[in-house]
Amino acid sequence: MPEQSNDYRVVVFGAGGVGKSSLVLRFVKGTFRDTYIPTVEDTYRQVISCDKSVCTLQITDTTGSHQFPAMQRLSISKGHAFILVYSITSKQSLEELKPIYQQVLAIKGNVEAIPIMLVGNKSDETQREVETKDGEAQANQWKCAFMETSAKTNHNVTELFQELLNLDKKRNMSLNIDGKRSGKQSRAERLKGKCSVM
Amino acid sequence: MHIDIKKRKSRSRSVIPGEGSPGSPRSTRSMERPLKAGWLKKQQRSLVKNWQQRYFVLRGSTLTYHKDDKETTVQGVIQLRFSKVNELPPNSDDPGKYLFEIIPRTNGDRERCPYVFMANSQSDMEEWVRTLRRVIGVPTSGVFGKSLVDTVTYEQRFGPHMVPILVQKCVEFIKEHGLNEEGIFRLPGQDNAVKQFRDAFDAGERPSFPSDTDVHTVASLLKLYLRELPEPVVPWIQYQDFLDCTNLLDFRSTEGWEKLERQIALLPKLNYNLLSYICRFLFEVQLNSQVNKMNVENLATVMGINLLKPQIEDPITVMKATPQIQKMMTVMIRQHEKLFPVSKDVIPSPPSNKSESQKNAPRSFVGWESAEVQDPKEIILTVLGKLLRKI
Repeated sequence: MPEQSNDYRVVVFGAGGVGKSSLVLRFVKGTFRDTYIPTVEDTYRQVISCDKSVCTLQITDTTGSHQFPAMQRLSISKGHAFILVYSITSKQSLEELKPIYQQVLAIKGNVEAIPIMLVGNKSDETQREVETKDGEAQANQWKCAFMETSAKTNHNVTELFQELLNLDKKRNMSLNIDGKRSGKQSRAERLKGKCSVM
Repeated sequence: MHIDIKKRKSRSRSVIPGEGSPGSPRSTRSMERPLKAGWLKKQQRSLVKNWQQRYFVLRGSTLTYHKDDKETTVQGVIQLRFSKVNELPPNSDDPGKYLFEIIPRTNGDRERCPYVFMANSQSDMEEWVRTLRRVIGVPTSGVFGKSLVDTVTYEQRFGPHMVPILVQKCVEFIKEHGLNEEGIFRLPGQDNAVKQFRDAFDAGERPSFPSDTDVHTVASLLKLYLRELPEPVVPWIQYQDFLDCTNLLDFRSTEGWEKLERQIALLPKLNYNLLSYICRFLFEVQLNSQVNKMNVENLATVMGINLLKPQIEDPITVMKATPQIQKMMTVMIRQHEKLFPVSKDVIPSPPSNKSESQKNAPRSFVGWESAEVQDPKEIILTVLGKLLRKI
């Protein structure tokens, strides 16, 4: 499949069960399901505005287990922006992001110009293991942005994606297409198991 | 992939020590081909701690170092027997140094001072440490990255086992502590604890897990073991045939089932045993899916790729195959009673064993290599099996 040059590719990484798919589905479809299904890899696309024109925002939802190092490398090398998700209920899930961040750093060389958002998901949960300030401290160390979200209660989800796009200084992107209504028109197309489009 | 091939080559060399490569004249420097050779920086052991670039050659359990890769003059000899090898943690003030040490055997009560080395990269360092440890430790005690037949054959000395001891210990632990754990096999274990257990098993210890061990750590260890097998539980030569069955299983006909049963019958005995053992265990795990949320499909997603995978792990190939792998795994877990009946649980029996190892002989080069090693050991196994049955 030919690669579309005006695709803007966002890759979502994080340990198993932190809510990567839930975040992406909440953003793309506006829904939340309390199901429990591990992901291998899914890709979602939707149209956004970019530099007074339109382009396709492509979101790759990756697997939580590091079973495919080759696939991880490919996603990183093709990705424009990265969302690193942990769950505020699991210290270990924040630990799991460290090798992924190192991998992004190793492949991209310099991450300063690359939009990266560290995300503490499940902010609605009460059994917290990672304090907000710990997430912030990690983000400071990585010189990346930070946000806490809840896919369940729809807290900060759209903000997360808009903020990520804002971090890209080379393009001027917005989730709204030329000031028109957002929402329903962002028809998302679900491409399952086709990583060749990346 | 490239690195894998290199590793296998060096492994195949260590299987036949002392044999020169065909076509090239045997070296006059030594009768034995090196197990590993390469450049490292060695820290001076005098008062001045300078780094010196040296060419290191490992033969048998002797490490020699030289000024150049021609090995013209031996500058030093380190005897590895009874010594210890340690990775040294990276220093945050001075990153980019990949250090390890060799502590020579102690002479009486006098502590010997360690040799400190610097490798070019983390992976280079890890490979040296692994190779050196392999030489120092009991030669056959490693578990991770070893072929299934080597491990099971070696472990027969600890009594009859259907599957590697590590697999059995992980499964028993999870049965006892993890069946009600949400996301078992999905959520990650503690990475450093996983590595510690791996090193312990590789060093020939067969530790029991303390009862407070995180079950996800044990589950991750089991997945890691399966992933690191030099050839997956479903051998490469049968990989495509297994996947092809999934399309046929869609129909109500018996064709797919028959084909799958034929493929399962073709599995080498030890691979059959391990696959059977794991499918049976995963079936038990999903019985609690109301609590652990891991139903058959979920377990198939996270476990399938560790058991069934293509020889070349190219991302696109893997992506395309994933739905089939997941489906095949789902079938094997759900139908384990039919596909892997308890009545077939036997330690390798003489006739089927013999014909199987012959059938498997002209495989990919890795399979061929293990098949070569396999034969004499399988004979021992067979004899052992017979004896055990008599008792």
